[in-house]
Order: sequence, then structure tokens, then C-alpha cells
Amino acid sequence: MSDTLAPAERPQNGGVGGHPGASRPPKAASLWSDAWYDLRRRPLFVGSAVLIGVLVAMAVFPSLFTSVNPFDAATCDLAQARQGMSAAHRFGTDNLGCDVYSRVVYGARNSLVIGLSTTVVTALLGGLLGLLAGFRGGALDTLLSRITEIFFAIPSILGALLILAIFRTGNVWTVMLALAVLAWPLTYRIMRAAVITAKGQDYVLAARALGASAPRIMFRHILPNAVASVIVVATINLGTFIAAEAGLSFLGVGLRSPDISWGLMISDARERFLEAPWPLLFPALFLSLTVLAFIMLGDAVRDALDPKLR
Amino acid sequence: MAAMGEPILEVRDLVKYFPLTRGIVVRKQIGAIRAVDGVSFDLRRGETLGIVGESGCGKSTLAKLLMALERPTSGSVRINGREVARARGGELKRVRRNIQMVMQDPYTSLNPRMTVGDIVGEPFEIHRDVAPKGDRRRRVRELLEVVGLDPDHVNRYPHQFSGGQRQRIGIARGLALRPEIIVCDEPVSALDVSIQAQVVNLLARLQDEFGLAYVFIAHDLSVVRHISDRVGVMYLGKMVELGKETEIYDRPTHPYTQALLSAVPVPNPEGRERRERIILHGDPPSPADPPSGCRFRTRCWKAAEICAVEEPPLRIRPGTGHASACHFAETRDVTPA
Repeated sequence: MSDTLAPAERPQNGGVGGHPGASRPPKAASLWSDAWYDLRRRPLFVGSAVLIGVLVAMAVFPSLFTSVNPFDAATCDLAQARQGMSAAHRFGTDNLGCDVYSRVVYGARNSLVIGLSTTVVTALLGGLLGLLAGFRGGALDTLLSRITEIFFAIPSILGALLILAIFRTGNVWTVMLALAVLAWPLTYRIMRAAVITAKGQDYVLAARALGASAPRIMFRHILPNAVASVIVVATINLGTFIAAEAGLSFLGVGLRSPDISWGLMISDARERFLEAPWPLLFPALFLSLTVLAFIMLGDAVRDALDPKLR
Repeated sequence: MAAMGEPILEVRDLVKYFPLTRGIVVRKQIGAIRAVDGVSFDLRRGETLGIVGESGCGKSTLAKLLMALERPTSGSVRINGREVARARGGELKRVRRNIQMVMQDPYTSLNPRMTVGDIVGEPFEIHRDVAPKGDRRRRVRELLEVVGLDPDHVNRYPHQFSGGQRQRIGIARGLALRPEIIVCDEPVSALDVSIQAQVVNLLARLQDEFGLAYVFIAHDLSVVRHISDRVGVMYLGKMVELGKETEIYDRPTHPYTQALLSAVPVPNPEGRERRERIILHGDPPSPADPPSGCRFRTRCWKAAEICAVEEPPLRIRPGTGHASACHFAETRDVTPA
């Protein structure tokens, strides 16, 4: 009987950048191994991964990138304030005559830690609760959904101000906490909606008919089919979080000098932007690059997890 | 078809009402959809029971009840004497080994993010004692071969297959645990006509090979006739006629069955002119508010006073050889030879 079906057995997307069947790894494939196989061959993924690698290296070992230590007040010279790019100060100097390049390098740590940790906490918390609420439904869903609505009703800047005012200290972790507490309901909502869509599919019914346990259905059938939108939102949010940190610093409740972060640098430089654009443009450029790299990474991962797009 | 044995599946007075509620904070039940309302039948080893009826008559709910995907309001489903309807946990998991399902839509019944190998192999991962770990891949390849697919395609994804091939994947998944019963819920209605025959023939071949018993649900009367040993006709949640395939198709006694059969297209133009078409008027009544007595009476040309008062039980009527739920059951040939 199979001979009559032969023509249809060719993969239908063979022409659209699909990988040739012959060169596939011979061992058992799974969604994750196939996705990883596919990712390594995607220029978008490789490019964003290299960029993220450099940024992370900057955050972990800033002394590799610059010999100037911006925490040392002696490196700043008020007489040299607001200078343009030169051999001594590659990105120019800021209002206090400090070297912008070294500050950008050292600022990567705080900005990345806040952006990444908030994103991870938000995605895990919102994602897991959304998965649970969407899958279980009933009272749990009602309870969690009403709780998220309370958070949606709080203006985010006001909420963050309140939370940070309670802690009285603005450091990386309190800023992260303030942002995550206000941001997880959005991820929760998106995950819950995607889970409810996936839950009604026939393949979930088929798995139940086989006697699959609830965790198996949740993590093997529903999660892979619901996670795509959360990945996209998480990577876009990453940039928002780094920028929000700047906003909080500007309001005086986030990080404070002598701490260094891109957000702080941007808010310090904006008053004199027309006179001296560099102290604002360079941290903004690095912020944009970081956001871009993570969005590209998220896109590549999402596409790799969808067999139809491979 | 395979030799008939003892009943393997016994369904008794199966009832499923879906509550209709109103209100968000305080839920109040204002009625119920009577999707399945007192269905009884037996299925013997190696036998195929076809279930036909129009959309909304409760066929798919019946399938879900048999699979314990829905809990019945009352009644019982027994497989080899074991109660399914109230089984839970490990007991339910054991029962499920014996009854599996082939679903209607091959495009939504396979997880798009799992490889074919993972889909067909999942039963072995859930029921780990069925096949030792090292043996599972071989078993999956075997299953793919049995349903007529290339075993080398284990690493492909569902979207790379055609509708008919996807349905074969679904069948392979259903076969994995070597069940004795397979519930086919409209297994071919989503497929092209040219592919339908292949899938139906595959099901028939597998039945001979593995001694399977099928509950074959469909609305296509000719497909059901082709594969079934016995046929049950459903209308508005009730079984109105139940008998051997030849009895139902050649000597139908219930007016609804007669009307259904008279609507089957006839390829021979001569027969087309000679035969009698029974046209039913109106739509089926709402299952939330079924008519009193016989549910078919609102559309039946034979309806009399007794039909509104007394519900006709499904039993063998005088002058006929099989069970029918009509006060005025009589044989009438509606399909021209």
C-alpha cells in the first residue's frame, strides 16, 4: 500500500531551506536535539550568540576590555569634561570628565544582571504559574488571574517606587525584585492563554487516552507548543527592564552613583545632550545592541522549536 | 472478518449529561445537554460495531465515554468484565492498555513538536513495562512498517506527512500497546475519498492480523457498511436500531434508519429512478430539550399518539430479526439492489 503514497513522502518543505534528510544525525531525534542541530547552522543565532558572549565577557571581566578603572575617582578630571572622542578617551568624557568607554564597559555588569535576572525570574514565575493555571483551570485559575489583575491595576513606575521605597536601598537585587514583581503578570497572561489553546488540541486528548500523567501532558505536550510567545515577550522585555532601571535611577530610587550602569549613564547625560552627545549615545548604543542580540536569539530559538519553520 | 467470541466490551445504560449553567459567581444549573442518554450494547472479540448517526447525535461523546476521557453521568462500561467508567489512577491506566483510539482529524491529533518516533513510542514511555527500554525503537519501527509507513521516517515531524500518512501514524500509536479494542471516531471523514479506502482497508487488515475489535463511528453509511459486522444507529443520544450489517442495510425497521439509508447516493441511474427517497423535514430537536416519548416523533411520518407518551425501548419487535426502538417497526427495503 505504501507504494501508492511514495510521492507524498517527500518532505513538503524541502525547498524552503529544509535540511537534506541524508545528512541528519542517525540517532533518535527529539525536538530539542533537532532544534540545537538547526540553531548551530543559523547565522542569526551564531551572530547573536557571539554578541551576547562578548557582552557577558565584558560584564564578568571588564578589566580585559579597559585598563582604566572608573571607580577610581582619580581617573576623572573635571577640566576634561564633555570632550569628544580622542585617543585617550575613545568614547569621549562625561560631565565629570570621566572616561565614557571604561564606564560603558563596567556598566555592562549591572545592566546585564538586572536585565537577565529580571527576565529569567519573570519568565519562570509567570510561565510556570500560567502553565499551571491554564492547565488546571478552576479555582486556581480564578485566584491567580484575579491576583494578576491587581498588579495590572498598579501603574508600574509607581509600583516600583513603592517597592524600592520599602527596601530603602537601591541595589541590583532590589531593582530586579521591583521590576519582576510588576512584570510577571504579563508573562502569566500570555502563557495561560497559549496553554488553554494547546490544551484543547486533539493530541492532548490522545495523550490522555494513552494514560499520560498530568506532568507529562503539561511538559511534553503543552509546554513546547505554548512556550513560543513567552520566549518572544521575554526577549523584548529584557530591553525594557534595562531601560526601566535607568528610569528608576533617574527618579532616585534605583542604582546610585558611584554605581555604574548604562541606565544611570543615560540619565546623567541627558541634561547636556546637545552639548555633549557621546556620554548618552554610547551607553544607549550598547543597550540597543544588547536588546537586539537577545531579540535575535529569542527569534532564532522560537523558530528552531517550530518544526514547520525549519 | 475474524471469528466472533465472547463480549469484550459491555456498555449498559450509558448516560452523559453536560450541565448548562448560568451565572459567574453563583453557578446555577438551568438544564442539561443529554448527549448520550441510555445507550447499551456489547462488542465481541474481533468484531466491528459501526455507529452511525447525524452530527450532534452523541457519537463522539460515546467514544469519549468508552475511552474514559469523559465520566458518565450514570451507566457502566466494562472491558473484560472490568468497570472502566469509575476506574481511577493505576487501575484506569491498566484498563487503557486494552482500549485505544484513532481520532478524526489527523492534523490536530499528532503533536506538531514531536517526531513520529516519539509519537508512536510514547505509549511505551507511559507504560514502561510493555517494552524494555532498549527494545522500544525497534518496536516503533515495526509499528510503522505494520501501518505501511517507511520506518526510516521516525525522525520526521507530522507536518512532513500527508493526511493519510498522518492517520497511519495515529493508528500505529493506537496499536502500540496491543489493545483488544480500538475506538475509531470518524477515522476517515477528514481524508480525501481516494485515501479513505486505503485507511479503511488498513484497519480491516490490522483487525485480521491482531484480532482487534472496533467501535467504528462514522456518518458515512457506505464506509460503515464496508467494515462493520454489526451496526448501531443513533439519534439524539439514543440507539434507535441495532443489528447485523445486512439486517440494518437490507431490512431496516426504524423510520430514521430508513430515511438515512434512502439518502445514500446510488451510482446506478436506473436504480436511482426506481428507488424511493424519504425526505425528513426540520432539524433534529435540541438535546437540551428532547421531545417526550420517542425522540424521533417530531420528524417521523408514522408518529401517533403513543409515540408522544411512551418511549419505545430498543428490543426485537415482532416480525423483525433485530432490535429497534420504534412502536411501529416494520421492514422496508429502501436500498435498491
